[in-house]
Amino acid sequence: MGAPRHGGTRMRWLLGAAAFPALFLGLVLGMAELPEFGDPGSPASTHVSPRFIEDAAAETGAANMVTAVLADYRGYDTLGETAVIFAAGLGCLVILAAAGGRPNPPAPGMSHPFGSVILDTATRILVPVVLLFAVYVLIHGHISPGGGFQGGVLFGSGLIMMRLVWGPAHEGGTHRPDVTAFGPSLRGSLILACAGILGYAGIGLAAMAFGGEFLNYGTLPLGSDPAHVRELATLGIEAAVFLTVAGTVGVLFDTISIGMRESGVPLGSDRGPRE
Amino acid sequence: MTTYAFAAVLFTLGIAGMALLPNLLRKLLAMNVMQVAVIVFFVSLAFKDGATVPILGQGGDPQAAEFMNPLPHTLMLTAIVVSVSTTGLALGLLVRIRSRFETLNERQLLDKLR
Repeated sequence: MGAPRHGGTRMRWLLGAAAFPALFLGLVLGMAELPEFGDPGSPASTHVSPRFIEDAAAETGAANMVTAVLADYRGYDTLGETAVIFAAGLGCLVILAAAGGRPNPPAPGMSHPFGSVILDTATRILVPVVLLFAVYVLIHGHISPGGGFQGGVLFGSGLIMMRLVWGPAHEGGTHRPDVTAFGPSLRGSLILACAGILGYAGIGLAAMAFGGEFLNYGTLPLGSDPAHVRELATLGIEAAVFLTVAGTVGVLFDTISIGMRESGVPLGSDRGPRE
Repeated sequence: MTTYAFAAVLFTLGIAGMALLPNLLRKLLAMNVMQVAVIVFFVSLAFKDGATVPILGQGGDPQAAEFMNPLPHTLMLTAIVVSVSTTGLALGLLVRIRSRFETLNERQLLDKLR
């Protein structure tokens, strides 16, 4: 860090040429001690996971064991992960939008309209399909690959696609007067994300209110079959995760595009001097 | 073993990129490569010979040997989305740095900071 201005470069590459092959060798040597690839008797496959595999469907009503583990057995962990994602969105908001001195700036898209008929038509056709597929991935997460995280990211990517082609989602924001901007503004995305994380914690607290532990959904008064109750609560959790992820993706995109417009130069053009 | 070695290659490339590349944006991309290495490693730990994806088919009594381990898949599912968000936050920081110091080159930044 306190190195002289340009003297450190050669030293750094020499050091790297020695250190990183050594690191690689160490990793490979360590991996020689790991159980064979695909060994059904490896410790990872014999301790907790048999219980998940054999009992998950009967206990939680979810045929997709990954969803069962994610939203039910390890629901507390997933609450933390969701909070991390939400915090990343908030952090970006504080770094870029709030520090810019404008309390509630309108959400700009990327600054320039593309104005192409092909792009415009392709977006009109693709975006509804993407958004609908996102909701399908969320709802079908019990019985096929999918769930809140995947669906939320898909939904967010659909929103980003519209922002990129049609511009920001505020009044008069579209580049094409005949196209109405759709999708939440920055404020709307933030509200979505908040609703998601609050809903997640709320389902956990509701389970406590009915006499169970935090996030132990079995006690919720949603029916008599415990597996079915857990299935419904899992769907609620996945929907909350969906909202948080979709909202956070929107917040991240909007704040970064605000920041890029204010700094004036797109990030990609910075190459820096090469020596 | 091959997948473990592949994960090791990716991990080494990622760490080397983070340490050696001068541009902060490239350091961030290298960090993403490193995260992918960890994901490859975890998912390959979940693999079992003769087992299928951990989604129960029609009825039946599931046996542990028939399905892959769902736990690493769950952990990596959240890890991927968390990595997306942390990348977004890092990009936000880069935009701030870029607008304040007009460079993302590490050496120029250090010069401007002193």
